[in-house]
Amino acid sequence: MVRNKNTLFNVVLAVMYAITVPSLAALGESRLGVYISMFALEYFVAAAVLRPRRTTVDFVAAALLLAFSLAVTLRVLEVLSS
Amino acid sequence: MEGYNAAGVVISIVGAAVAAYSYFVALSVPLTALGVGMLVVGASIAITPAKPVPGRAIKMLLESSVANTEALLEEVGATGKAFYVPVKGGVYAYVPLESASSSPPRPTEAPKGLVTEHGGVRYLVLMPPLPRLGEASNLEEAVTEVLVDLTELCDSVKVARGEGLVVELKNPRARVGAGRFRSVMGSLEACAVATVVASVLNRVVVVEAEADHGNRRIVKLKVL
Repeated sequence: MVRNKNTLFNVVLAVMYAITVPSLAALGESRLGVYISMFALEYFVAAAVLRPRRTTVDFVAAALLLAFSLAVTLRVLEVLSS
Repeated sequence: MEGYNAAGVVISIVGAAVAAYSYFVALSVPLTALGVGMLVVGASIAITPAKPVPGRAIKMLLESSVANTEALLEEVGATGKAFYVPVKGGVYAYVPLESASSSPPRPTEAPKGLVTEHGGVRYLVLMPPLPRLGEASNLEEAVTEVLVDLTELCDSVKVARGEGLVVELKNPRARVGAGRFRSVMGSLEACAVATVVASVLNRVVVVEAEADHGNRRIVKLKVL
């Protein structure tokens, strides 16, 4: 039994990531941006639902948002240039 | 650093190593993603408070504070509604000691004594049990931060502006049976909401009414 929502958040995140990686790999996904975008989405959904406490600024969220933005931008540029 | 957080740092380092090796040597995207995932989860563990103050402990402290305030209000025989007044970064509850005062006190500096006088009316000046915590500037976010995230006094908060301000609290949990406190300051949750609202809006606030509807409590505030 997970005792608090902070720990629950980390457990949920790890479980979601552990499901995401083999699922996308099984689908033959070979773009790293897709994996990272999924990680970012899952992180923000779990954070919105469980609202974990943080000891510092949530730099993980900032880094994931940046990575997600980068992946989306690259994908858009790729589509536009093709 | 607690062992729990240190474990997060270790997981992050291992994840970064796995990601780098998989990307540059093994040339495997799924394994690289696995490494990145470990890096994220590890970093998340590293910034998670290892021993947060349990909400239950906070509630017990608040309830004891309410009991003390209740005794004081009983002693002075206060019956008028408290004004939550923001003064220089803090919020004070001004409880009228005489016939109900309709005009709120507007102090320019922090009160120095337990009893103070404004506009010919004497007020008992109290610090509300729950000061404003957190730094959110949006009203709903600030109330949520204090009542949901930090003290776990309720599950969620909705703020609506109409005539005054209406705040809906889902599953309020404090069970404080202090009658005088409730009639003067509002319930513990209403008191906390009024304190946060007064601080965020920098206006005087009064708990006008509150009512329970099933698992929800509706708090009506008057902003003066």
